[in-house]
Amino acid sequence: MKLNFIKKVATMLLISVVALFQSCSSSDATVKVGASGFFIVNEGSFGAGNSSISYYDRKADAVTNDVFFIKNGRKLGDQAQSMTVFENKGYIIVQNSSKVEVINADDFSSIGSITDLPSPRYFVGISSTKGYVSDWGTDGFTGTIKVIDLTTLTVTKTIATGKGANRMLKINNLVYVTNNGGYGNDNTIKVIDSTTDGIVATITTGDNPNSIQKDKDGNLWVASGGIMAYNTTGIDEVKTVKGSISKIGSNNTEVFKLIVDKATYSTPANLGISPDGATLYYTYNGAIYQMATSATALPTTAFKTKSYYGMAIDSFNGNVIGTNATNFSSAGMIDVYDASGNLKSTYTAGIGPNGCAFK
Amino acid sequence: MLTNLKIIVFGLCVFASISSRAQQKDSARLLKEVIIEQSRLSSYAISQYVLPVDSMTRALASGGSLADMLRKFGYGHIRSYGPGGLATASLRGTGSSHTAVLWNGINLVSPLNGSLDLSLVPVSFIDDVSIQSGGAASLYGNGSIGGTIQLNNKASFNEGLKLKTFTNAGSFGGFFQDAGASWSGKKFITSTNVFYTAAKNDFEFINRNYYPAREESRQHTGYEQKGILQQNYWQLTARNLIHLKFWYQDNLYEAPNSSFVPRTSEATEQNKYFRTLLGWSHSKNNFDFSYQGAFIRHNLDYRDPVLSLVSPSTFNTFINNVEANFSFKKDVSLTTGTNYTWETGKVADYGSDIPVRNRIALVSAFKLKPGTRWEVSTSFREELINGSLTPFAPAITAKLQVSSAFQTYVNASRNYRIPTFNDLYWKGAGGLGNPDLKTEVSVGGETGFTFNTTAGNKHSAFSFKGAVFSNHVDNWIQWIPMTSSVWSPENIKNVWSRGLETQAAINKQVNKINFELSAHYSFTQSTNESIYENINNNELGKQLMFTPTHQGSASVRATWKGFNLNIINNYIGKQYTDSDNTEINAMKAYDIVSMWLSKAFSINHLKAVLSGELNNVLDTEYQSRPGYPMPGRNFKIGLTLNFNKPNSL
Repeated sequence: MKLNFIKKVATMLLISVVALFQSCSSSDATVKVGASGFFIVNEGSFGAGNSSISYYDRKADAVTNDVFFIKNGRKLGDQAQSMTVFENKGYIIVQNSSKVEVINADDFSSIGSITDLPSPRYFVGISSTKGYVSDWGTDGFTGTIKVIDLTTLTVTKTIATGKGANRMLKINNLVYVTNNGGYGNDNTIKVIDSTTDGIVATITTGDNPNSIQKDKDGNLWVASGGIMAYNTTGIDEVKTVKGSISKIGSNNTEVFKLIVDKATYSTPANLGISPDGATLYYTYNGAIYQMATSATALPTTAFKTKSYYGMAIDSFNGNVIGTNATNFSSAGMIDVYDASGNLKSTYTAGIGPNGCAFK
Repeated sequence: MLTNLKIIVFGLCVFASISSRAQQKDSARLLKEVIIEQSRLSSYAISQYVLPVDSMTRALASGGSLADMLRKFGYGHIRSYGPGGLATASLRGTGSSHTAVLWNGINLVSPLNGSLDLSLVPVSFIDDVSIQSGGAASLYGNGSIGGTIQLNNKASFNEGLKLKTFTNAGSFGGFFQDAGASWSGKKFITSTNVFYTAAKNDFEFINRNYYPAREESRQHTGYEQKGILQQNYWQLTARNLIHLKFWYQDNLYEAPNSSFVPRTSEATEQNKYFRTLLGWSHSKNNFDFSYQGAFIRHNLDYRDPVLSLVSPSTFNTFINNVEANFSFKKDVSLTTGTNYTWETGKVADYGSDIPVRNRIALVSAFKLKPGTRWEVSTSFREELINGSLTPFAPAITAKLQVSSAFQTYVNASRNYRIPTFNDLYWKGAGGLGNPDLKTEVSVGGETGFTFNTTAGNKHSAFSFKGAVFSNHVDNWIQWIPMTSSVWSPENIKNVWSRGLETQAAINKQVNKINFELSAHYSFTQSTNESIYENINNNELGKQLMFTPTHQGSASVRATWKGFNLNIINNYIGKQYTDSDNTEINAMKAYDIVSMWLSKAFSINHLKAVLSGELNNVLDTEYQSRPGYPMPGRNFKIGLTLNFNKPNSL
């Protein structure tokens, strides 16, 4: 009995210790993305080969520019389009240089590069050995997903998607690919089963969908740029198809499409979502807009009236990061706002900052 | 004896801009019969800093383009996309559309983009090149803010039959052939010149955009150019001269990808242009009158099969100059005239707009020599474009002959450049022209001196000249992003360029070998003085992109019994490639050595020159801009044959 009691206590202790360990390790595993900092992708001025990567260290509250060059002694290439951190490796897509540079996300050292990509755009990690890179094709029309063997950094397969395969979203084993048209037009999202690399569904959206997010209720949201048309005075208001924000239900069909009010040069893009999955953000008409996922109409007032080249939502704290590319011929900046729209700080980045990558 | 004399002529041409009396006498004698039909206005530029292009330099460079010549010999700063690619001049730290380029007085600059591609001008079609630093819009009109390049043709009566051929071949599939025939009688001259050139330019370079760096050869960067220049001069009466010129050229260029891009480009650029010029001049004692009418049609067809892109553009320009010149005694002269230019452009990206501009300019220039030492000149231009006036462009200059060897000058001017059709009317993905753009205005001045001595010996000469300048360009048109994806031009920039230009030359004959050492150096600070909304404040006071602060060259030339050796070392200082001058993105300084060796032979009426050219002797690795490598060591060999059968007297 007593022994039993001791045994029980010991077992409990053991369990609690194990639990403690477990809770420790599980809390380790769920360290919030972006806790240590994030990367800023500086696209550079097109053709000048001056793209770069900056790193924001959260503890030091400071940005270090040109980390790729400083660590590796060479420049990144021409037109860095995006970066994704996956399993602590940074996949930097350098579109006009037709390559992906892979770095160690902690010390920025080069691990290798993926070539054989005509016009790559974005990366999404599938497993430790597999990744997807969306690609526009040299003509800007032939959009594909390049399946990458992450151990050898080679292309193993090409999946045809649509014109201008762009940003992707992975939900379980499904990858949603927005076809933003590239140099042409498209109005679809292709859904790929990443276990078979086969297309399992096609979702029709507004013209030229460019970015996609999942909300807390499992709905998908898509920002579409529309189709611009010009006449002698500028934008042809009649022929232009305005951009939109679409809500897609779990059955892969459009629930509704909210069309923006104006035909403008900057169309809806850079759709982002708060870490709790309840608030959407997008850029449109020289401003950032904020919208609850419960909304059924587009916001009429801007969250921040300032034109940003790119925008990212800090997955650690929900801050809104506007990337200001200024004139693409000198260092740009990032402005960091809290979710209420207060400007918290501004940091100098590299030339043409277009987005962030969280590790 | 005759050869010696010719050597001296070559030597003296270098000093052409330095007006020592002895030399002036020589050149007056030499140039007595030569007709140069251009605006008389250039004679009012009495005190500008000129980069002299002597006839030997022109002869050495005659198997290439004007861009090649200016680059190899270090005249001004040439911004280019590599061999055969678009090349424009940046004089005194200004932009590519701030240099006026005149052909026999006719402005060749495109109304679409405000510049002339110097890689499309064969040196063999031009008899006389002069590069004048500093703006002179009062004399040369629109766009003369950083300087003016003058390209002239020359002719002489009563020289008989002349035939010439020049063949040149060298590295990277380079080939050049020029052939010409002219007949010059007492009253009539006709001459025809044709040329053909092609190159593959598939030179090897080290592509440092890869890790590890790898050796590659440039792909799809060849060109093919062919053209004809036909000229006629007719001395109608003793007082009336008519000339008619016709220039057609067809240029195909394979536009390469930058070395950042691994795939081979398929884009091509075809420039076809047609220029015709009719001139009439009438002279009567102290009065002369001239008319020039020119029509230019230029087609550019840009295609990129990879992108299924076909982008044609055309412009037509009709230029008319009427001028009257009066000279009262020897010391006072006055030129007054008017220019009427009609220009139109048709570009796919202008939508349905076909812009037309009617430009009428009134110009006057006055020159006076009070006393024996002073010379003063003043001029102005006022232009009316589609009914609105451009900024008034006056200039004033004074020159003082301190001693026979030393003279000094000072000048000040206000100059302008009107927006291009692209700036005003572009509409399309990525860009939107701004119809409300204002004309750019520059205000500047310079002072300088020339010192030159013949040391009492015709076979030895020393010259030294220098100038300091300051020039503010306001309302500088800059394309800036209006939104994340659309760029638009604004009169937003203000640039201050100032600096120093200097050159020295020594000419000496030692044991029948004529030596000539020359050097020039320029220091240019051209900085952004404006900060506008949404710009990095760090750009304030920074050097403009692709504008070296330091630039210089040194050359040695030796001539002996028909042999000519020419070695030039051309230095281009560090160039920033971004507006906040980061060192990581800067292009390193480079130093390029080139050499030429030629031997001239004469057999009766035939003169032959065998020549060899070695470029980038030290195999220096350099780029003309990021991603556009330049070739390493390369060579050319050439043969020139000149036949002249004089008229029997």
